[in-house]
Amino acid sequence: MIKMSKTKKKDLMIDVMLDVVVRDKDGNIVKTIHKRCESYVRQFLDILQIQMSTDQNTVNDTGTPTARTVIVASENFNIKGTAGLNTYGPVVGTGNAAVTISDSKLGTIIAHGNSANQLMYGLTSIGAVSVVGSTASFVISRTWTNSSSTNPITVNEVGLYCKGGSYYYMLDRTLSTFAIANGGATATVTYTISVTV
Amino acid sequence: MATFKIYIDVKVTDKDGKIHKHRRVRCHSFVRQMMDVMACQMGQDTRSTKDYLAASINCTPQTTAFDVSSISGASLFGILLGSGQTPVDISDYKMEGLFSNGTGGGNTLMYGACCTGKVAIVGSTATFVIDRTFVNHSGGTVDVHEIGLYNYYNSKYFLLERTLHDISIADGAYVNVTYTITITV
Repeated sequence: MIKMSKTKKKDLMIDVMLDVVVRDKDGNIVKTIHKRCESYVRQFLDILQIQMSTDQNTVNDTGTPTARTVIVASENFNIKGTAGLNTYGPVVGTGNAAVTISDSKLGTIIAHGNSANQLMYGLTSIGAVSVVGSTASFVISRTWTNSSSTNPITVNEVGLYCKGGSYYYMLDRTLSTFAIANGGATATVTYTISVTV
Repeated sequence: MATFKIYIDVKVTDKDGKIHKHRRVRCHSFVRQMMDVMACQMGQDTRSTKDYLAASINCTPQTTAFDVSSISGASLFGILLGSGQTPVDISDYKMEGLFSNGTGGGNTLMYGACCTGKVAIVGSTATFVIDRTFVNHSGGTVDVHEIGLYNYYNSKYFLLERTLHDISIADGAYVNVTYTITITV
């Protein structure tokens, strides 16, 4: 039997908190959410393992899904999705099925645009690493605007997609429900990723 | 609730091949450089970080980001062992008393290759392991107090994780250190 050391009890985590701020068309805050993300999913470990081993492996993409061969690359983990794209960076959807470790995409991703049931995807920004006390953290944020005819659009799930080569992979999926009114209301999602000694 | 955990298994085997000790340790933590490299890769831009020589480095996205797959005979990256006992701090950028590779007496160990396994799924948990074996041919007992994980990053070396744990390795014995990295939904 393996003995667990009695001297080192603290869990190590790469912690991820999710903040959502919903504003009306005039900029007034109408809802806030602060919660711990449900989980990274397996693709996070798949890509971390590829990078740590400088090897290659197959990873399910955010499509059908399809198992893609991912090689060690400088672009792996790239989440800096540009405005107007819902292929990587934080993404939102309407699915509400429970998260599983093998999830490779959102249940139903919301498309970019101003047609019915679409949201306008803003730029993804990634902040600087800061150290406060014994915690190092950085934030990832993105804003969506409802310029569609659908009032409101209800989001049930938030995901974090990254780019690797020509394909995209889901790193995290968290259930969170908030409604964005049409006519210019917005929702901003902020992931705070941290490690604490 | 997300759980991202790392365990270190330490297995000491004596010179006759008998397992002398097997302990599982929960890691203390990643240190700041882990966030620097992750932010750099996620943002695909330049971040300032600190290498193991305390030099300020402009970290840019690299193919070798997170690379811990060291060859044998090298004590620059991958899993490393040392003698330091100072508590872990988020700003640690190196191990306190790193053991060098060799058989030259004193605080030296022979470093095996650092290997990384594939991701496995069991139930709602995804796991992979990083593994390295160290042999003591120094002529005396080597007392380890700290375990670290270093990343080779474009000709630089960054400390990603440091955990305090005591291991005593007799001359001729060897120790196998395994990081198990898990995510559970």
